[in-house]
Amino acid sequence: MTDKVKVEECSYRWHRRYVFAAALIAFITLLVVLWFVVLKG
Amino acid sequence: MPLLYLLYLLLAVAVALLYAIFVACAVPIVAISAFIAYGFGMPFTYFLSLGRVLVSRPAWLSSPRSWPKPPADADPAVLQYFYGPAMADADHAVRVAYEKCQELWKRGAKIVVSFFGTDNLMVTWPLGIGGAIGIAAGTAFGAFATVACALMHLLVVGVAALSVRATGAVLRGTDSAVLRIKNIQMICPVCYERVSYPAYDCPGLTCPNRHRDVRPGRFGIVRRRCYCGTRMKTLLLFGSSEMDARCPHCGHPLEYHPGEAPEMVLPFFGAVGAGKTRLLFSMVTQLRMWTAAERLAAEFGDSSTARDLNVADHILRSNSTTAKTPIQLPRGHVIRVTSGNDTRILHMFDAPGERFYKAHRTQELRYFSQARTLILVIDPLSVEAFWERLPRDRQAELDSLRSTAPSPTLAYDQTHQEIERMGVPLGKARLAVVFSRADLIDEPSDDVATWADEVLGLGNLVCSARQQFKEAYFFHTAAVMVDGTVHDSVPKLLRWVLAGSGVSLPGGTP
Repeated sequence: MTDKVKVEECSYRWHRRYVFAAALIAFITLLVVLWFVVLKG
Repeated sequence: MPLLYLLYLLLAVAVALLYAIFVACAVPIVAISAFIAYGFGMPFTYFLSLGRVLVSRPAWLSSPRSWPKPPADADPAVLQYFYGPAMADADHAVRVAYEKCQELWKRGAKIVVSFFGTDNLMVTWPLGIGGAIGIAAGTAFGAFATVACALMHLLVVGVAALSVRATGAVLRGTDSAVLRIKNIQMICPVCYERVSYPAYDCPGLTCPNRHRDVRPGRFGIVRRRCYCGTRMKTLLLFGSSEMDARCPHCGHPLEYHPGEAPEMVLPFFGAVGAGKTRLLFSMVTQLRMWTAAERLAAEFGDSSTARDLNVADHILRSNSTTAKTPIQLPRGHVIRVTSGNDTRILHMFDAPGERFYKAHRTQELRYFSQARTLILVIDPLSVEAFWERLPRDRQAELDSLRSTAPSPTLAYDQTHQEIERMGVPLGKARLAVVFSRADLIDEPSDDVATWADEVLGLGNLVCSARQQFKEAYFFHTAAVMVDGTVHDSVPKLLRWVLAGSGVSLPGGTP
């Protein structure tokens, strides 16, 4: 791994974690919304 | 015997019934199991792959197919995550998830096929049929759910990228607005170019990288990271001026931390030997004396200015002559003046008089285009009409001090025409016309402008200065020190010069 790649990996670490968490939360939210829509329907 | 056949028949019917029950149960159970495995397994696989790409990043993880690269001439900084890498990661996650789902399908297909190739086909074929139906239905549902997962991920990346870019644009706009409100316009004292934003050296101890534009953008919003790993602030608002600045045009160091205070370009012009350098020295000496008396704070903005002007007060005190100003293009002397709550960066340009006689040489002094206050220095002794009226013995006494340059109006006419050609609206500029040698010539009884008109015969110059410029003020100064103090005329000139920039110096405005 080159120094530049190491710096990039280090620089993006928290951005990636936030994106993963946000995607997970967004998907769960979608499921919950769909669940309520189906129940109401 | 018939009873035995009946018994066999009943047994066969029972076995067939049991087999039908087995088939009727096995097919849906296996199908439902396969449906659950694939319908939920595929989105789970997607999130597992996303987790590997974004969080755990194991060593065996395949490389992304493409990775964004900044242009070859871009700054040596790491791209901001939402300016390309986030989409590359999304693409990478989709590819990794697709590979894992393919493995899942292959494994399922192998199991289904194996159910049709056994010796107990009667038992296994319902499992195979159920598995095939379940895998097909589960894949359809799973694909839908996985696409929904991927869309959620892309939505998050898209919203974040938009927010980051919008934040960057707002911060950039705010920084520009603050600079505009504070009236901060930066200029390079060496190449005279307007600096819209300074370039900065990486603050890393051994890093030689230079960043030409650190403002929020593709390399970072609040901070950016140099290739060496060092973090850098992106805006003057956030304190980027603490770093070592450079001119983005010529690369010269801007040691005075530009961007913290409004800058003022102050060119001196006039004929050869008019006393420009000496006037500059006396103004600097006055500022330093006020600083010593703690009435304001004036400090040299860079090492070059300190080297050139440290001797100013010594030269004035010892009444020695100043060295002739070199013919080459002048470097601005940078002085930071703080009076009360106001701070200004003065760029004082002292060009040799020879540069004001020929148009092409004056045109090279491009710093005039940034100036809104100018200082014209005139040696009254160089005015022929005035010299002729002096008594012979006085002429003999002053002959060695007199400037032998051509008429001072030539330098004025030449310069003000060139300044106009540079696009400077003279109607918005201020001109200080400074007559030197007040220590050798009697103080005018009238105001200086009337004296210049009536005694020196410079009526045309006085009239032109008043008509062309927004404000023209006339001074009679002496660049000398008497009893350890600078001549009264110099602080008066300084007050007028800085009052135009909204700075009040000790003693009030003239």
